[in-house]
Amino acid sequence: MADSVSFGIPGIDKLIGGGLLSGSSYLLEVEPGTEELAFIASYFDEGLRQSEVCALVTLDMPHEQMIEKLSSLGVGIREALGSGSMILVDLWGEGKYDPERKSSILMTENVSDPNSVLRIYYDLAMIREAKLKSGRFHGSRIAVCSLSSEIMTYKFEPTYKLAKLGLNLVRQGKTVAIQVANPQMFDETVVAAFEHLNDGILVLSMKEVKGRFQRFVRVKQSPIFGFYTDEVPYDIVGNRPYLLTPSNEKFLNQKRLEA
Amino acid sequence: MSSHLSSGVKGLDGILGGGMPPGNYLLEIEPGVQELAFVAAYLDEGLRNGDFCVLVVYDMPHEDMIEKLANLGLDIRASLDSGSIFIVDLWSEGKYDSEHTGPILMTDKLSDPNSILRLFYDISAVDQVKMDSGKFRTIRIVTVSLSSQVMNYKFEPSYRMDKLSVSMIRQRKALSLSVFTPKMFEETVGAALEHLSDGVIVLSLKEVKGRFQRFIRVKQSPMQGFYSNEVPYEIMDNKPHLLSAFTEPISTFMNQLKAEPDGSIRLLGSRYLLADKDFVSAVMSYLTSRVKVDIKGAQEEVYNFSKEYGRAKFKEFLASTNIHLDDVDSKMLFKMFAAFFSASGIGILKVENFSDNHVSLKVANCICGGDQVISEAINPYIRGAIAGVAECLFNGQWTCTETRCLSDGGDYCEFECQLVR
Repeated sequence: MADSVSFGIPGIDKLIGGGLLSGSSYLLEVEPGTEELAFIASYFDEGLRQSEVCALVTLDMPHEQMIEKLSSLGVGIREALGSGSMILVDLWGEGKYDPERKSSILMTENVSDPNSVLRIYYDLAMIREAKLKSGRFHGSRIAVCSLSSEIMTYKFEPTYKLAKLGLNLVRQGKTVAIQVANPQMFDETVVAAFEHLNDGILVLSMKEVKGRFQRFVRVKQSPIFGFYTDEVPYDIVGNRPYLLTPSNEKFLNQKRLEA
Repeated sequence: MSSHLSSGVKGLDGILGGGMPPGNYLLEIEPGVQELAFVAAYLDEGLRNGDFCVLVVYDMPHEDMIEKLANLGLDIRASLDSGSIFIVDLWSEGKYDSEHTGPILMTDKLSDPNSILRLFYDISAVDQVKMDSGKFRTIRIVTVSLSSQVMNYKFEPSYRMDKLSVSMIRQRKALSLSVFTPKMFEETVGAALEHLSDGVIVLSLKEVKGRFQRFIRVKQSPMQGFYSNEVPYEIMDNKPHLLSAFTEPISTFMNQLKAEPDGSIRLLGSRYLLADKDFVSAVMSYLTSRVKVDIKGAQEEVYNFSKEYGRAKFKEFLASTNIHLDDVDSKMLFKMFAAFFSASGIGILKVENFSDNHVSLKVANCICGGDQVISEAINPYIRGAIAGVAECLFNGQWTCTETRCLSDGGDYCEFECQLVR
């Protein structure tokens, strides 16, 4: 097995073939009600537990609210920001740009300009390098919440360029990245382009089954060769996603046999 | 939990996960769902509890809106005079009042998105003054409707306006409800607006077995873990009433479950694990529950828990109907039994045959949906609820067992209730 890290959710690692592959970027396709933030919370929980540098880019809400939301989900984000194991990039609001990168919260004065976002991304990469060199950390993980807002703000082409650059930065380091996006907000071609850019694709959905609604997760593509899955139902219990798969292992074995 | 506000609609707070935390909510509607009854209830709740209310009207002149609300039993004229509600009229053009002296804000350049933006900033300034006065609990906004806003200003300018207003709502920790008709637009438009919202509530009108029925569903709630299946509702006495007795207890039941770090689940206060680490199979989410309880003790606990609920909830149900058990005959008792469960969303229940110590029940459209995993999982929960209600109705101690299930083939599930003593 190549170098992989755990997602932080029991069951998900098995679905994607053992874990998130280091140097890979994953698209997390969501829709309303799928509670993607619970996935992100577990993702960072695990990162902090494994002493990884965690970075969260927030485009959907101001960082204060994101901190509040993640705290209410039980992630020790305030402590992590204080100790420097977590970096928050706030691209919702405008703020003073900090060229010294002293703070754990990065902002830009010109949030509507893609170039200034580019600069922040480079900053983020530098910070990651410095932190990894310090020897305190074993790797890094990034989440973008959400790519949808990025596309809405910067339009498709600039965002694609930003994402491409971001991807380079992910591949260079011992880093995994998750980009949250709601595909229903865009044309199919836009979604296809971002799916193309990412190494792995996880789809969260909410579906009516026999008159009842149920949440599902599916691995559409995994960078670990040969893995994909059918839809697996999940629920949120105690603020964390919980896969309802008694036969996860059995199912995958069967897939392997079929292959 | 203390910051949760009520939607003003009985039962809706339950399926939202205990009320509405501050944030922006989208109310998706279609013709015939009577969304104004929801808007009236929402505003009524705010005015009653000392919220500063803002009503943004795009669909009609403010005079019409005031009259419509009055017809629904909500007269806001006194509140307008006292300054506890403001109307922003974006249907008609009017003199822009930069001093904000009147309770009705208008603009003289209606077609220009920038002038609306200015109005939004003005509202925010008014909000600030109102909140600083210390007279109000919070700010409660309602927009009727976002669809008209998108029609007037096109999608992109409208999206920008919404983003700005979401910023303001978040800064002020206000509560905002926007009415929206998704069918008027391409799917991407609705999806983008849903994405901007913290909660999404869907009202729909559907044909069920040849009859039309209104439904409400919480597609997304800012409360982690909560969403709901469709719950039927009716408008009675100009107010929406959710036809579900179980909306509250099941979400409360969800709160009793705790995920352990190793991935297993425990019923709070219970010594039994409902699911162990490797054989993951135990979750009850609101009405879509699937719990496979492989430890007999835990199963027993769920059963007892549910029995208490059934009993308590049925008593509440009785209280709301003003019916006294002593006054009705046994036929009526069974009718109520069936009505309660049909309304609860468990399924369409029919009493097959009964005697003093035995009742047999057929449940069509059972929530297990014929899925074996769900069925096994939810079994102790349904059995408990039935036994609880039976005890309430017929006195004595009752037990309930499932004798036949949808998942075995066939069209219904069958339960047997037995008097123990």
